[in-house]
Amino acid sequence: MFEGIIVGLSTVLTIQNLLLVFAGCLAGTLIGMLPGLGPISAIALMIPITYALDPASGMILLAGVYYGAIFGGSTSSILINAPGVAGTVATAFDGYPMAKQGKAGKALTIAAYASFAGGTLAAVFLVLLAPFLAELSLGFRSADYFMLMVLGLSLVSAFAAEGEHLKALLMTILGLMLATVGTDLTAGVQRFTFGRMDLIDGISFLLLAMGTFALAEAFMMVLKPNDDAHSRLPTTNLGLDREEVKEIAPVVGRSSVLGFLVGVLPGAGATIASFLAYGMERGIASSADKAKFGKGSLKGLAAPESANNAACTGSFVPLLTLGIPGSGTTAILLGSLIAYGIQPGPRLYIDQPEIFWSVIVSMYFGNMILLFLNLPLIPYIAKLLTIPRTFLIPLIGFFSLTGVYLVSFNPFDLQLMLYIAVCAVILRLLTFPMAPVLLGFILGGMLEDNLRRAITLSDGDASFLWERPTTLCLLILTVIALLSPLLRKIVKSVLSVLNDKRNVSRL
Amino acid sequence: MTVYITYSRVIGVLFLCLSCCYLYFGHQIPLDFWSEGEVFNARSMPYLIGISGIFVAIALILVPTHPTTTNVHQQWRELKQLSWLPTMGFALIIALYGLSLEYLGFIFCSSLFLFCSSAILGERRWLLMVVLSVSIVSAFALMIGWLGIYLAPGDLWMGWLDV
Repeated sequence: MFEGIIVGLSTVLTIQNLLLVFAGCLAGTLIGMLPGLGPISAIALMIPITYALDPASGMILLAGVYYGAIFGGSTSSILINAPGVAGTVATAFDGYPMAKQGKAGKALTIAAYASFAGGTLAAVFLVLLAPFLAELSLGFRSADYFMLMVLGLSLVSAFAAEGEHLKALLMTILGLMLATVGTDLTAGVQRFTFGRMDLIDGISFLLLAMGTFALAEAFMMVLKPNDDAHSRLPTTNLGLDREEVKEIAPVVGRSSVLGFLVGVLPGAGATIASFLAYGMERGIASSADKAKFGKGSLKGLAAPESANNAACTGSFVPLLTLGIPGSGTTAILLGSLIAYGIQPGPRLYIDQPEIFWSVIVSMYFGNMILLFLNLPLIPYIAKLLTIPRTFLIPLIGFFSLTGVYLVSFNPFDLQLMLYIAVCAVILRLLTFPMAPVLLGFILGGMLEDNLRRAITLSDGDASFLWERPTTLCLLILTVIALLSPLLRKIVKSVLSVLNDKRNVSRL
Repeated sequence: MTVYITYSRVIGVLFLCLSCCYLYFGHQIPLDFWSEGEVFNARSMPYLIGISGIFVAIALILVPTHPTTTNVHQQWRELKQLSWLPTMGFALIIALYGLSLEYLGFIFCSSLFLFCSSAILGERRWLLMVVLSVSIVSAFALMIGWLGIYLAPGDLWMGWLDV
């Protein structure tokens, strides 16, 4: 292993490759900031440039673009509540409220540090555990995946206010319903398209995210003109004090481990990792801290940010060790490796160790460069919020609409996005949370695929839910997560009865 | 016990109707001969989701709501105080943007969108509005072009070019 690290270091520590990491991070950050252009588009745009480079340098550049794009996506989530990629949706939950409180600079700083820590810790895990985890991830069956998705969905309670869990559940089901619109790829039949050609491919994630978050937010800013006045406050305080560092350090550690492990599973990726980390942190927070979630909690921002970056690194495990792309982005990376004539798999780090280790070592440097590149830029990026609302709101509308249009070039999508945004505004005014809609939508397709596989393999028997220990553990966790609001109520009422009895006996 | 009509319950009733319609249209999904006999086909997931939707909607209607959401009059007063007129204007501009984008072309239509939205939101520095709208959209279009994404000039201008 040490020999490998030295090989990797000697490959990365050349002026050309360090410049490539820098260029990749910068380009990725700038592209990732634009709604609609996520890591997949950023990497796809860079592939032609890599053909002029040797394979190791090309992969180093693309890995830098990947991290940069994820961080760039977080920036638009925090500043204008426009998560351009699914992995940064959870970042907006507490990042945007912080920006509205005039703490945009601090939120971006936390995001930068959490991303750096998540990415770096995960790179260490990758070096130490890659071969072992690759084998373990292959043991994950469709029944386990199905229960993992259900567990992810059951975390909706994390997005609901006290006593409003049913609303969150309803919104999750709405997300699941929207996920079924389009062509069922297994049977090849159209579902809920009502004969419209525009709906044959279904509703895109970007359209739904922009409609429910960015455009709906622009409408809310118009509806409540005095509500966003505080976001115009100067964003001078960018640093973190010792107490804040103490508060988020354990969160970053826990979320990085969780994010990395989820990232290793093919198909799971940064989105589920960020949602699970957010739900986990809210679940274990004290009741005082729990109340801050969704209103600008430091923990609520640090958790998804470190988890999504750790998951990005984790997704390299199946790619480099088994040749299986764990996400859309790693599928493009796999394609570019194959274009170089390199077949990733168990023999990659034996046959071409310089590529295997240089990608891993470049992750450390990529994360470091990303941090040093973004920290000085934060005050300028945060200044975006000081633009007068008469220009800022139209700009949010313009970038959201353009982001969606540039993906499909179909004006119907803009109309659909408007309807979705109007519905989202009405539901938001009636205190229905919007995050579960996205969660249900993202997980809906994967949930159906894995349920179909599991139920077909068990020939219609529901025993697949408890036959395997992993599935059973996930099932138990899901039941606990679903019943926790009810259990909490029961425990509270029992404790209050006991307290009353104690007070009476004292009297 | 007093049963309040709350907005949550109204949404619950609407969602109940939506779930019933969803189940109905889910049942209309065409299946071939082989799929009908399968343990999991294209209708299975919609059935599961639709039935779950009905249960949750009924629960939302029946379960006593949180005290903060029961005051329908207060909620109504709050809703009436919002700036609905500029919001509807903004929504109308977005709808028109979607309808005219392919006809007017990206640069002209987007510049017009930015200009009109700013005007609806109360901006009255006309020259600044024109300069900002055109320069932002042009810069964005240039960058998109640099990334290799083609933006059609618009049917209106194409027609003129043909002539």
